[in-house]
Order: sequence, then C-alpha cells, then structure tokens
Amino acid sequence: MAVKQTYTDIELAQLLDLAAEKKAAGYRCVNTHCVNTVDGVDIIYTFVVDGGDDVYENYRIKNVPHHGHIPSIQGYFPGVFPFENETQDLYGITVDDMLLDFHFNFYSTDVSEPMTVITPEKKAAMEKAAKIAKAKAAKAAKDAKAKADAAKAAAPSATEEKGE
Amino acid sequence: MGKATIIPFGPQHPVLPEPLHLDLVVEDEKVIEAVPQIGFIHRGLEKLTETRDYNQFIYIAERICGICAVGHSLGYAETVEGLMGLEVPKRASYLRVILHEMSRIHSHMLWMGLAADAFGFESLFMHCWRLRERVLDLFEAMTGGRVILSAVRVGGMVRDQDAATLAHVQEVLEGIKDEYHEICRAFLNDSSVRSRLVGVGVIEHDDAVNLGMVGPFARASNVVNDVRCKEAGAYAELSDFTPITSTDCDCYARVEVRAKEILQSIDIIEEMIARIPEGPVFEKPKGSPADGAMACGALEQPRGECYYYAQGNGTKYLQRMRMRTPTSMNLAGMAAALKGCDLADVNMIVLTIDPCISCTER
Repeated sequence: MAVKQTYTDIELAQLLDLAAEKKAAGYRCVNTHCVNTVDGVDIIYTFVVDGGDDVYENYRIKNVPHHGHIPSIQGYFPGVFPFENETQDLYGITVDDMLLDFHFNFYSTDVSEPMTVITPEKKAAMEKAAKIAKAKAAKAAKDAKAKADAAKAAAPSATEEKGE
Repeated sequence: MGKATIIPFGPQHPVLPEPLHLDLVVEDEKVIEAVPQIGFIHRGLEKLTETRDYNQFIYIAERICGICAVGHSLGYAETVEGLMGLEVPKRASYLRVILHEMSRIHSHMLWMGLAADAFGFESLFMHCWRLRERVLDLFEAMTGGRVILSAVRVGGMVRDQDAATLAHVQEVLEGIKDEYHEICRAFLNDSSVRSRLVGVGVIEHDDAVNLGMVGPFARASNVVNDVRCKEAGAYAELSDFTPITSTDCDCYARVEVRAKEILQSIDIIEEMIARIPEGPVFEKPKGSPADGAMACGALEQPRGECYYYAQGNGTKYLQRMRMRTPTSMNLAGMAAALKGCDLADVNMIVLTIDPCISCTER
C-alpha cells in the first residue's frame, strides 16, 4: 500500500554511523537490497520507526564496484542476515564482519552472481529506450531551433515597421 | 552438563510444509543454539522482471506464494502504480481490501489447522480446514480461481463484483463466524492445547523489537506493528482499527493473536461491503515508468509486513523489483525463540512463526 517514503543518497563510509544513529533512535531496518547498474551496484537500506511518523526512509549507496566490499550492519540489526547473505550470493558483493555468514552459500544457484547478468531482452529494451529518448531530444532541439528561427525572422519586420 | 550434539532439523520434516533447515545444538534435550538455513527453493523470480513487462509481471508476483497470492499481486500493483503516479478508482481499492482480508482468513485458518495437527489435535485441524474451504469457495465464486486468483492488475481490478455476490460473501462469512467461535474456544481454552503452548518459545517485547520481528509473531510479543494502521487507502477509511496484540509473548499468544485476527478480518470485510462506493474498477496505465523513478510500498500480509520496491528505467520492463517478505524478517526471531527450549517443543515454535519459505526465497 502507499506509504510515506523518502530517498537519500549517502556515501559508503557513512553507512555504519547511519546504522548506529537509526538504532539509537529506535528505528528498525525494514530491508536492504541491491540494484545492478552498468557502473556497479546500488545498495539501498530502508528504515522506519513504528508508531512515529511512519515514513519509510530509503538510503542509497551508489555504484559500489562489482566484487567490492561493504560493512555488515548485523551488529545493529541482526534480522538483516538473510539480505546481507543474499547480497553476497546474488550480486557478488562481499559483506564484511557478518554475525551469521553463509560464505556465498546461502542460496543454491546455477549461475554465480545471477542478478548482475544483463539479459539480452533487457539490453535490447534499454537500447531501444535510449534510441527513443535520443530521437525525442533531437526532435525537441529541432522544434526549438525552428521556433527561434521563426522569432528571428519576425523580429526585423517589426523593426522595419517602426522605421516606416 | 551434557555433551553438545548437533541435530539436523529439516529440510524435509513432517511439521514443515516447505524446506527449512535448522542446525540444533542440543545439550541434555535443551536447545542451546539454532542456526537456520534456507536456499533450497530459490527461483530467481525478481530477475524475471527483465523478461516480463510491468503488466505481465503481476502473474509472476502472485505465484511467489500460493497462500499470499492476493497480497503479492496487490503489493506489486500498488508499488508500480506509485511509480507511475496512477490513482486507482475507489471501488477497486475497496474490492482489493475485501479480497486481501479474505486471503488473511484462509491463511490463518490453514495455519491454525497445521498448528492443531502439530500438537496432535486432529479434529481441530479438520474443522479449521473445513471452514477454510468455504473461503476458497468464495474466491472461486468471485474470481474463478481458488488459490491463484489473477483478480488484481496494475490500475485496478480485472473485474467488478455485483451486489448479489458481495451479499453472498457477507452471508457466508457470517456463517463461518458462528462456527469459528466454537473452534476458537477450543484453541484458546482447551487444557491440552494450553499445556503445549503456554510458556513455550517466549520472546520478550524488547527482544522482538531488537530483532525487527513483524506480523502476528511480533504482535504476540506486544509490538504494535501493523501496516494497516499506516495506510492512506481504503484501510484508512475504516471506522475503527486497532492491531490485536498480546503481552504473553509465547506460542499461546501467537495462536491467540491469529485466532482473533480472523474475526477482525471478517468485521473489516463486512464494513467494506457496507460502504463500497459505485464506480469503475480500472484505470488504464499509460506509458512506462520513468528512467530512475523509485517507489516503495508496504502491505500487511497474513504473516506480517511485506516491503516492495520498484525502480523504472524508461522501458516497459522494470529496472528492479524487490519483494522483502515477512518470514525473512522473522528468521532471526525464530532462532532466538528456539534458544533454551526443549527439543520436543522445536516443531511447535517453528510453526508459530508461520514460516513461508517460498515467499522468503522467491
């Protein structure tokens, strides 16, 4: 259901301080998950404090390198152990100092780091969307230029009228 | 002090409908540590967003779990609607709540039957499942499906329900209510039931908060956490809604909370039917989610809070769809509840978190 939500970008170095701050303020960690991108993996942490303003606060760490390392927040929120182990298995990101670490054996998968594989369907769709966006931008630029030219053409005639 | 022994529990076990493995470290019949392990049925459903567009994926979402099928399709649809800024007609949001609460009733009845079977009360198990069948009959009458309903779609509902059908739903639920009161009495007052549940698998309130537990499992430890209180949709229009909690913190409290939630769900459905507005039930979505757009949603599934996240990339395929299910948040709580219990109580404690491993692994 629709819930109140916020999104904030943070640096990886801020993560443990953020977790400590949220824990002290009575928040619970709702979720952590990753989004695969061309430049790396975005990792999103979601916190909420029940009985407060009920805002789901999402904090995003952008572009963690593939096969990079992140610190574990299990020390503050022990309930996140499935998500951190999932991050290791599905995205190949190593989570350091986990209390419960399955060492890349949490899920049994045929392909290693399956969520980092970009499927041909997705690649084709993204290329198509990029082409459409490029064409739209070119059309908008062309329209703007035509409008400017028309305005320019109209301007001297006005001057001429004044001169007469 | 005896010698520590590790006893493997599951993944195939009579009390478990789905594969969950526990390494139980046991000393003199007392469990001193329990390490849970899942991962036997990971299907990579979130990855399928790359090959199914946002309209098609709803049929995958509702197949994450047979018991929570309505909930998952609803959570997915509402998150994508948030991503696209789409407002659903009011009648559709009422119909969604009606189906979702019916889903909670059949899920809790299924669980209560399994719990009765686990503590050896076979007739109670049969009565619970007999009543549950009537809810499934209602699903069939409303949507044509008994488990996978395909009733929700992005933008609203697949079909409307006429007044006669809604009146029939109300009539059947009233009948269920009368019979359910008798079953409830057995669950909450029978001495053999109490002897198996009272004081077993205790998780104190502070531990439940610390471990981030959700759903009836948390509410049985007096954690007031129910997404239905936070919503702005049809739930916000209920005349009164207070989450059911207990201060007992044990297995009995978990049974009590779920038993009372069934009656609460019937009341919610009756109120929704009485107040449902006329109008359309579908608003066609236009275009695709914008590149970089993000939206999250939460839903109170029968097992607790389920969190959804969607991100667009300018195409009809989503960049990412995330579904964090309640059981994944409750695994740490389950391991904590098992610490110090008798070996004979392990199956009862595992069952009282109502684990759904299909949901958890997706």
